[in-house]
Amino acid sequence: MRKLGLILLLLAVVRPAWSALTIEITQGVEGAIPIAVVPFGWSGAGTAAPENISAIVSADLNRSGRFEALPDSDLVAHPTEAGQVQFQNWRMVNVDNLVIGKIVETGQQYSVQFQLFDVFRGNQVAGYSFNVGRQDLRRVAHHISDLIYEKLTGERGAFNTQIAYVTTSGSPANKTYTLLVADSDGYNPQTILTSKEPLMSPGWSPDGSQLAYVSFENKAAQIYIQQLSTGTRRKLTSFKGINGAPSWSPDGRSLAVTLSRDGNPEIYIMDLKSNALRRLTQSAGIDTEPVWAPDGKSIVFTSDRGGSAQLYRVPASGGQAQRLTFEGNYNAGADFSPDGRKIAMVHGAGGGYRIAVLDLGSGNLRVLTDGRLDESPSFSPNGSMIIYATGEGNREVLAAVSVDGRFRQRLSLQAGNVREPVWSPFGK
Amino acid sequence: MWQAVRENPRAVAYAVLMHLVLLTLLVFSLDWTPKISHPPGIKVPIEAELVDQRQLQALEEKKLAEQRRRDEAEKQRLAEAEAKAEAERKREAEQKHKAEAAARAKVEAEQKRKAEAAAKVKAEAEQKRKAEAAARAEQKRESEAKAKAEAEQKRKAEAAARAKAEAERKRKAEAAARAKAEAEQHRREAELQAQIAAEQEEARARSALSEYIPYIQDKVQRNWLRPPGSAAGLSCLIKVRLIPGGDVVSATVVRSSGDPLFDRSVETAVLKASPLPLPTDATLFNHFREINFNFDPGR
Repeated sequence: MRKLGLILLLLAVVRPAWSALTIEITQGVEGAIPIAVVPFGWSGAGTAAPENISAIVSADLNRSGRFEALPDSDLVAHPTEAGQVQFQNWRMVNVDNLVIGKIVETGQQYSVQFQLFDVFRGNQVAGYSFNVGRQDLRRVAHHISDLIYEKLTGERGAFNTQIAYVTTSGSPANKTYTLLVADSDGYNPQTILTSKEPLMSPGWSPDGSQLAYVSFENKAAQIYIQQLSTGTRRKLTSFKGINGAPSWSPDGRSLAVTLSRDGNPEIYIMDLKSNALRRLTQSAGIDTEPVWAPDGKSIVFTSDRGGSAQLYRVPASGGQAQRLTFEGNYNAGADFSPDGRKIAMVHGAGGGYRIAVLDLGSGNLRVLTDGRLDESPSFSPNGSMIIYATGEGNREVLAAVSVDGRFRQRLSLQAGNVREPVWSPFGK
Repeated sequence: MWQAVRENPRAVAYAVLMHLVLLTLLVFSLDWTPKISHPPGIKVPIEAELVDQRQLQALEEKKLAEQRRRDEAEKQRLAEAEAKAEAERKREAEQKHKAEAAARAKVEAEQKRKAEAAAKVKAEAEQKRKAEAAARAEQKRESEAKAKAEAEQKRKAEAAARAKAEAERKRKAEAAARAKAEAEQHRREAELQAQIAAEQEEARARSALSEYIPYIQDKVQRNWLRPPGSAAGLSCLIKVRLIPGGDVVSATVVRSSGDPLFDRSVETAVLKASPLPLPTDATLFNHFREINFNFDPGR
């Protein structure tokens, strides 16, 4: 029998057909990467760190739709140092990656250290430490999220970015409009401008240093540009009628706007240096909400020239506009994905208004949300998520959806209605 | 001739001496004839006497007659001497001739004798030589015969040894051939058995493979998180080593997709799928020791 075994072994060695067993894998699972983010260790005054960094990171990663953070209750261990990690434990709960870290208070500073592990290979993928003040702990958490995201997806993370939006509060008779800038997760809102008159259509400059917006503070629509760091602002247009929907060109030199100075709302391009205006559209309908393609060569806008609001595309140098959307009775409020291949929009069909994404290459439209009144979609600068406003009860709140539609989350717990969120470009 | 002379120097010496004697005799015999006086030239003193003419004439005539008579006598005497000399000469010549003939005969006899002696010596030498040659020949013949006999004996001994060796060799070769044939048969039988066993094993393995490949495939696919947004047409070949029980001990990318994230998702998939479902029959493990997974969602 041993001899036979030997012969078989020899046969196995001699016969490559058997030893080179090849199995084809043609299908996989479309899903989020399971990851465990263990609460960071704390060494300092009090029982806990001022910010729960692991919770911020978990929320960031979950919100992206690309990760599924293990709930805290399912964590099998709570290591805070590499030496305490037992990979076998984490394999048992089937997470691909593990994040551990610790925060050490040193005077007014905090030392934040984290390590990212590949559970199945049993090695460290990334590890960093930061020294920051109290006010930057959340920023550090988002930065950690970005590092993890980038390491594991190969795409740049967009957690350490900001969103601008407008809130309304107070009674209808005594409304207050506020323009705010908050972290990408909705936390840490900073007021940019408050007004008793409507504030509308904030738009980021390509370098993220300025916001353009429409203010009715002077009882009529006017377009302003405001420097975020200093608060200094400049009134750009105050034409008769509509002055709306400012959109920065990718090179930052001009602004596409909607003006009705010539009677009908049309798209114009204003040179920011000379304030020179160039009219881009000529139609009997309303042309508004212009957005620049990332390459700066074309502009997509909303027009009802065909009877209902639909999206059209026109060369930035002028010319014939081409209709882009044909599904649904309402497609408006376009935003280009950073790679220029997709357009997010408010898609109205069957009585609801939802966020949809049109793939420009294939012409396929995909509806990502299922709200009743979703509006103002805006791509994250890495193109992986879309932020939008959605009606919840009798108010509007911020929400985010991953571009594959798998993950949606309400962002802010802030009171009041939130409208017209716009995601900032990548920070400098 | 010269050899004969050299061989008989005494005989030659005698012969030469005889010749010299005969020659001397021949030469001095001339002097044995009587000497004639007054050679004609010699002047004899004349005694003069007066005589008348007639007297004188008569005298002269008488003198002449005298002279004529004397001359005639002389002439006759001379003739006689001559004849006598001639006879003598003839006799001597005859004698000489006879001596010469005798000498010659003697020489010839001597020569003949010598020749005969030489011939005899020669013959004897020849005979002796022949006898010796014969003896040598006999000796040679005998030694040759002996050598031949010895050679023959040796040849026979060698042939016998050869034959014996050949027989031994043949016997051994036959034994070896028999052993080889037996071994060959054993080998064939073993081979056949091994082949049968291998075929049975192969059939068993084939059936195990066809049964277990889908399980393995399914488990890996369930554990493969395809990275969203990765480029179409990516594929990755990964080699996985297992230990009995199905635990993955190593996963090596053999052919990268070119996208590190895709490759990593593939690697993670096979590691997460560990342990892979394997047949419970441990003898089949060798077929599952190493598995290549070709991740190719484009298919």
